[in-house]
Amino acid sequence: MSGGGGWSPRWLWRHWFPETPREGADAIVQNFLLHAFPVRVTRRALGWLATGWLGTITLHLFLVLCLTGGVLLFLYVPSVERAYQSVKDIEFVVSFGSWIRGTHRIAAHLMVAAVVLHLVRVFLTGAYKKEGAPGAYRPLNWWVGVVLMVLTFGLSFTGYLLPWDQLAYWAVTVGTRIAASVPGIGDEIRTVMLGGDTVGQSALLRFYVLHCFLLPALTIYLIAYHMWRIRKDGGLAVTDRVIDEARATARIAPPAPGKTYTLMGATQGVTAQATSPSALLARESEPGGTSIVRRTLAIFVVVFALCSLLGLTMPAPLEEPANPAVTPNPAKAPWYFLWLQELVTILTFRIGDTLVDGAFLGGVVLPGLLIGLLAAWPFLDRSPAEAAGVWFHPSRKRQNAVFLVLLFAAAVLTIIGTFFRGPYWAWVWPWDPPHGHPGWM
Amino acid sequence: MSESKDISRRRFFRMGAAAAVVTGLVGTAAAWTRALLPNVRYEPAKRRTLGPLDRFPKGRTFLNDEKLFIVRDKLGLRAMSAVCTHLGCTVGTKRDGYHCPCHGSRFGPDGANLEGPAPRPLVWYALSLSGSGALVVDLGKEVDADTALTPPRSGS
Repeated sequence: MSGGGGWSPRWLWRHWFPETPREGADAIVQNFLLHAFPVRVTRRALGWLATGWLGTITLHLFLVLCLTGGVLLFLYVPSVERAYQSVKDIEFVVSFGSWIRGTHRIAAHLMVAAVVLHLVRVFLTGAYKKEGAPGAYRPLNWWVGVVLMVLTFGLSFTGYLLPWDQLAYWAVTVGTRIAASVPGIGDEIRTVMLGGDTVGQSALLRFYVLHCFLLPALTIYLIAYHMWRIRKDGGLAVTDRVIDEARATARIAPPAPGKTYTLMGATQGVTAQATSPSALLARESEPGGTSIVRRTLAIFVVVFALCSLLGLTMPAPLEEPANPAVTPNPAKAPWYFLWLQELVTILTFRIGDTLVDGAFLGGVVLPGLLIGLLAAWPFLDRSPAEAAGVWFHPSRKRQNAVFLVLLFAAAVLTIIGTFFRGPYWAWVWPWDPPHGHPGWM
Repeated sequence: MSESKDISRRRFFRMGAAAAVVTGLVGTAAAWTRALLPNVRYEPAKRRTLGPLDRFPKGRTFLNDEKLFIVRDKLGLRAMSAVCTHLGCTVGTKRDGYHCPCHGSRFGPDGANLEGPAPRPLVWYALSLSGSGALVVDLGKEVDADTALTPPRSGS
């Protein structure tokens, strides 16, 4: 605490605002929240072009979801009889309820978009590559990221089930039937998901616990690990390139990697810090304490304000109460699952007498293969070390093309599902008379 | 020799302790997982009484709760499920049969899967009469499309 009399914000937070770089560095070392940031960071890594700050944006959207979800948790009742009514209360009775639910829902949609864009950025810059500084192993963080993306989809799926409206009921019905299409153990998987044979109270409770406890807890843990790994991998991949350039253009030899800050590093002869920008390129970097913290806070304010405004202007939809007898026509999944809905539709076919089950092929095998392909990619990647941290590196032309073609295919299927599917999932043209089903989002 | 015996005894206890810990952890995890598999399912029975025969006129009657079409024609009474065999949505009635709103499967008037991703025809269930003459469906017992229940003459 600062000396002298009188009230000071420093009573609340020892390093309220650093006045010197030294104080900023102190804050990062001593403050629990700030220790995730590096003491110094290269300007290139800070720039918008390097990352688009998409990971930070995803994290902030998740924070907005935790905050709004925390409020909704007090208002929602996970019971088949009362769930729909409690959501309706949130919409029409609770003060600001519609705003809070709208913010939660729009942040969820934006988080799915942000996490996918983040993956695309990391892929196109080759930032998952094995080759890196000593002690770095970026594929590990790539895998954590893939798991986090799957968790994001899981959170979205379990989330839109909770209102127990028509969208919810038929999404659980179709989703669990896709799981049941797994040969051999499918029915058992479905029973575990539903807590029985029918879509009812046990199913709602299971999805509620997954959405409000299990999946968020896993996500929080993995996000923390994800951010810690960035530091352990020597920062963003682009930092490696900055160091390369500094080494190549240095007039005098860079300091020998003998400057160590940790005992572990001292025993190994090298630490991440010893070869980090702080030792090599003071001119290319700036104090992390002020620059990253300031930008992170600014992005949080923007993300929060954007979600709040969109939540106010685009209220979350609520369909009719769940009705097992009538399926909405057409029954459309949210946009991020529409490509899967197209796949389970078009992938049923016959070869001779053998029936290929589209539910299993399009709903389980193909998504599984895509996830597996993403996980295996660091080992399939044969591009040189200097391709990491560079957008569209020439040596990565072919793999970038494969990746973008897969992404494009999913986008095309999503667009078909959104605009070209009408009642009974028949092909329609967007300029045909509207069929007016709001459930696409 | 005796020294090596000492070591092997220590090794024995160490491995025994490790095995006990592993067994305990795996057993606990198994018990917790098993607790999530329901022993009793508070769900409607598969065998259900649908009501007196005169509630089902000639033609098709749709039952909301069972998601069933009761078809009454020259053959007698038959019960066809309205649940799409692809992913479980409720099919809608069209002039040429049944269409599914979820993935566009199409079925003929007899439930045969004609188009789209549905892998099997719509399911027909066994009908019977209760002692009091009410129609009973067994949702656990599938039958052929032409297996019909002939209503007793004396009835309606």
